[in-house]
Amino acid sequence: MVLIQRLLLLPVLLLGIAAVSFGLSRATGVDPVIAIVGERAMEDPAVVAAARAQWGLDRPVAVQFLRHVANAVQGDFGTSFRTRRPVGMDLAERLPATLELVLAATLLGTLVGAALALLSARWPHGLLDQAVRGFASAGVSIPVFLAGLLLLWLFATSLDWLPGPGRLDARLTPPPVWTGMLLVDAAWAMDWAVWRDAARRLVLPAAALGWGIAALVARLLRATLIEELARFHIVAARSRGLSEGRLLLDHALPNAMVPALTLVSLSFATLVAGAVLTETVFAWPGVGAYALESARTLDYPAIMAVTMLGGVALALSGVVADAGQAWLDPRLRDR
Amino acid sequence: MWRRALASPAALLALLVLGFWVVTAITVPWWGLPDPTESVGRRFQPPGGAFPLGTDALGRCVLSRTLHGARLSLPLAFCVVVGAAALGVLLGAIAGFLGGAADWLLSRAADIALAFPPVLLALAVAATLGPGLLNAGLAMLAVWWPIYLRLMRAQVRGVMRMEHVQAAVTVGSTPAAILRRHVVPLCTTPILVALPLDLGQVILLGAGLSFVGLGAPPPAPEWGLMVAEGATTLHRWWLVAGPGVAILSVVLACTLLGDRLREQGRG
Repeated sequence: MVLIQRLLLLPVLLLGIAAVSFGLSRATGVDPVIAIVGERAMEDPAVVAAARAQWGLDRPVAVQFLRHVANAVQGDFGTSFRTRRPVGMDLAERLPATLELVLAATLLGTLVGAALALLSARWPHGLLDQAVRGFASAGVSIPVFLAGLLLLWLFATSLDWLPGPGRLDARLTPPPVWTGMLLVDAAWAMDWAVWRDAARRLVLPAAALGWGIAALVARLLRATLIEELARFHIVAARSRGLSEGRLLLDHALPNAMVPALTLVSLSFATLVAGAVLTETVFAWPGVGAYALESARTLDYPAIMAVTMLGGVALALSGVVADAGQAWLDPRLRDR
Repeated sequence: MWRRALASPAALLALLVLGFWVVTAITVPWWGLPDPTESVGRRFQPPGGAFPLGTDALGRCVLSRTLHGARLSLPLAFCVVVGAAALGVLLGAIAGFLGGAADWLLSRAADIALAFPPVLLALAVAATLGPGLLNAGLAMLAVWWPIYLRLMRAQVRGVMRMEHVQAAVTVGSTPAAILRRHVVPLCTTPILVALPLDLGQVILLGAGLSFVGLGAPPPAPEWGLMVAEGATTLHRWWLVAGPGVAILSVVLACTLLGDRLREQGRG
């Protein structure tokens, strides 16, 4: 039921997202024509008029909005003022780098967070539990850019165990593009030198971005595990003589992990967009860095596309999370 | 609730840390520290001597800049959270009290605002308004108000079903009087509990916006900006250490305090 309600509201939400991102891009005090033709050409009215006509900026705002929505639905997000290429093409080129980073961060964060939560729930209120709770509080309190710099300083600058910023050593030739994710492409091309370098460069940004996820997962999963452990089926299983470890893994975890998994799937879209700061710190050529460059140069077809796609991704991930939850937890299906 | 929350040593420590920063923010101009925006020594001096946290690329005292930074980040975050809470509470009360079309419109507006990833929305708003501390604040306001609207709306709808409100409706009190006297006083606790946690998160986002150059412009001693300035020369760790510890300590204190309050509010 909740799922159906959500699906019915989705068009309203999507239209709202488009309107907000469009409105934001038009609310800039700066005339976008400056960004297109440059400041010097602004004095030539013919050039300005031609640019306006070419980019459709001479039409009424409502017409521009409707045309933009119609184009966006067909996958056309306009042309970037900055790169002079279709924004869709720019994004398609940069999305794999972000996806690779976010997937690695999510995997790392979920596993570490789950491990910490299990340790915490096994011996609640002990010293270990206190440490995990401290880590969880610190994890949600440390800015991701600071975590990134700390990791860079420790492992790249001081210890020199891992390479610094960047996605691949400039001296290496990237593998032929297949998925755009370096690890996948390098493995496909069996270019293990590239794979090794790419993997070593992925560790730090993934850890910086995954730190927060680990903290969130540890917090939530610890709470649900402890709640679950107090329930009757656990008491019954314990009285049959099952070991505490078995109880935790086989009987408490399957029920307790549903909210945590929902959280992870919900935060995935946020992470893709939130990669802005991580990508800045690690000079990672992804969507986040693209969004920032666009914001700095008032490249508003690009800003609008990124904002809109971020909103759409988050809205859809909400629906997916609901569906996933219903699939994992049969009790939610008929509600 | 506050007294019980403060019974734990962690919460007390958090309150002390926050107290330190608030006192610093108010009184630091009279501490006799070097001017935070003027060059007062050699460039890149490591910590020690006259400069306990060293000097930066322009020979400015990092300690003085870090302490003065509290005068920017804290008031900004405070205004954003209070402003977002005021706006959200007002609109949430209207939505919950009136119901119907007003509720639908306001709730959908909140849905749409919450549909954007926070960093991205703040980035887009800050880019639209142009860089600057005030604009960064407005950008964060845009991110936070719908959270309070939802919170308040749910509260009001719950309270409206209570008997004393039904009684007030029956005896013919005016809607404004019902809302003010019988509903709103019962709705404030969850809002107040949420404030410290959000304060921390707003400081975090604000530092992030400054870090990417959409917050306070140089030479302001803003923490996020200072971290950005030190980010390219990590072997001079003291450039980042001061503002980094400042951000972390404030946000961690807010988180700990907020967590304790929430636990108390629940049980």
